[in-house]
Amino acid sequence: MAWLFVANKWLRGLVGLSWLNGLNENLRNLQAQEVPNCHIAMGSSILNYLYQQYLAFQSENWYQWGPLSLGFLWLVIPFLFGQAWCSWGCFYGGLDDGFSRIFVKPWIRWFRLPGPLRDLPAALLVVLALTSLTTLLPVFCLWVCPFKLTDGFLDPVGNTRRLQLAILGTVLVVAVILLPLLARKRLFCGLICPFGAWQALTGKIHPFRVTIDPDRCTQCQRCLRACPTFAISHEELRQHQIGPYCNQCGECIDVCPEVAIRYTAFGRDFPWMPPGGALAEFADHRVFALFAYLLLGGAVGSLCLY
Amino acid sequence: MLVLIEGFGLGLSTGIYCLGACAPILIPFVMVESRPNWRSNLWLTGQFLLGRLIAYVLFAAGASLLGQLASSRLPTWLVPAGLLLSGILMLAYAAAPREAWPGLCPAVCRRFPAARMPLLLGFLVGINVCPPFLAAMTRVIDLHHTGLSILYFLAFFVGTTLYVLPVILVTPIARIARLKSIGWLACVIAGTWFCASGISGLVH
Ligand code: SF4
Ligand code: SF4
Repeated sequence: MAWLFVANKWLRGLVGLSWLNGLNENLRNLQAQEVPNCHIAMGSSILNYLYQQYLAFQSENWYQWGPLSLGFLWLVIPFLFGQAWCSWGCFYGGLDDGFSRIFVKPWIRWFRLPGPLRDLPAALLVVLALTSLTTLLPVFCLWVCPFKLTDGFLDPVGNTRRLQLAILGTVLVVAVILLPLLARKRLFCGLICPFGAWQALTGKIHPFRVTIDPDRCTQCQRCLRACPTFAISHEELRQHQIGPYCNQCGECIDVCPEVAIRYTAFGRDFPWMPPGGALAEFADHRVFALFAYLLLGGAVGSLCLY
Repeated sequence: MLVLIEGFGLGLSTGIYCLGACAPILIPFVMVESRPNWRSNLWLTGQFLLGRLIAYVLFAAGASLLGQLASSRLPTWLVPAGLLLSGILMLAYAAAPREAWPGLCPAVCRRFPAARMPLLLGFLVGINVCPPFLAAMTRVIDLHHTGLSILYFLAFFVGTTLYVLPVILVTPIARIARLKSIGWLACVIAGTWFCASGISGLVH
């Protein structure tokens, strides 16, 4: 079954590209103040969604209102995938993930982030949610998101539009293509995407965790170097902790020579799948991802039918 | 009395917009400065609100004088200049030495103690003109009476403050170290955003 999930990693990149094409079509018909139907926009425009929902309720038209159903979907995603969505579901993430896998060894050895930089997506989430509400514009989509690089949607005024295109283009080239390619790190997911920060918060309702066994760990730091999203810091590793922004991609599990890292439920082994037991190999993100895909497919399908 | 009810009513009905204007400044600041005890957070928010109140009173007096001079126009540079000043202050505040990124600019910041003052931030938020604020100002220009205008703005301030006060609910989670570093980064981003908006407003 492993080949299926390796294929998934690449497939996500392809789905990301085709999704971008579709999104581009969708964005052409949107006005700049509308929030695109996109999960990344959901976290950073949450207050706008809530405000629009409030207006929709007031107009007694709430059942026709898209954000409500999106909101439902968006509750389903953290519940089913938790933070693993960023590694196993997100098609945008598939793009920088794909670029980070092209070279086998990194050209730039970058394992440590300066100061509090790992909290940048969470800070962006806070500021974007507030400034989006103040301006009633999806600020992230208009000023940061490299996936909204399109000939529609952006500000119609010449210079502002040119500036937006320049910023979006720079983020695309630097954070989605160049640095992932050279450093083998998922820069956009790890240091920019506010939805990743949102998942770090809401994904806590999902029981799946990546846990280090202190009795086995020899502090070799291979996991830290392999983590594509800088989710393990030196300080955290010393305390055998995984950071809160872990995307549950499983890279650290694959590289650990002591088999000290494993998937757990809230830090405890799954009772029906103890390590070494007959069912142990099913305590695997790939198996859970498969279930999550099926359930998400069912949820989306029933939503479409409705 | 009618003036008080009217001002309070306007503040109460439009306070959510005020919160929209205040929050990008207030929330990152509270995230960094809050302590895990209610009293100090109340004091912090109180200073911020006092700064806002002073700005409102000055505005009320100014607007009323404008009304008495039969001129109801605010200088167009005022709002972007306020944004720019708020942005600069937030960046200076973020650069002050603290746990998140210690010693970034100790030399500059020792000479700039105001950078840590919530009162000043509150004042600058107060002069960031938002739509409800403009509505209140238009009304006091019509009042043609300085005392009544100040009363109107005081009531407006009380009405809008009810929306701002919930920020002290951050208290129970204030001990989380990560909150400070997120707040610090949020100060830098919001400061840059305000500076850019201010410069863009001044240029246009
Ligand atoms: S790779 Fe395994 S043994 Fe090495 S530091 Fe990480 S958890 Fe410990
Ligand atoms: S800590 Fe491990 S599972 Fe989590 S993102 Fe890093 S490599 Fe992936």
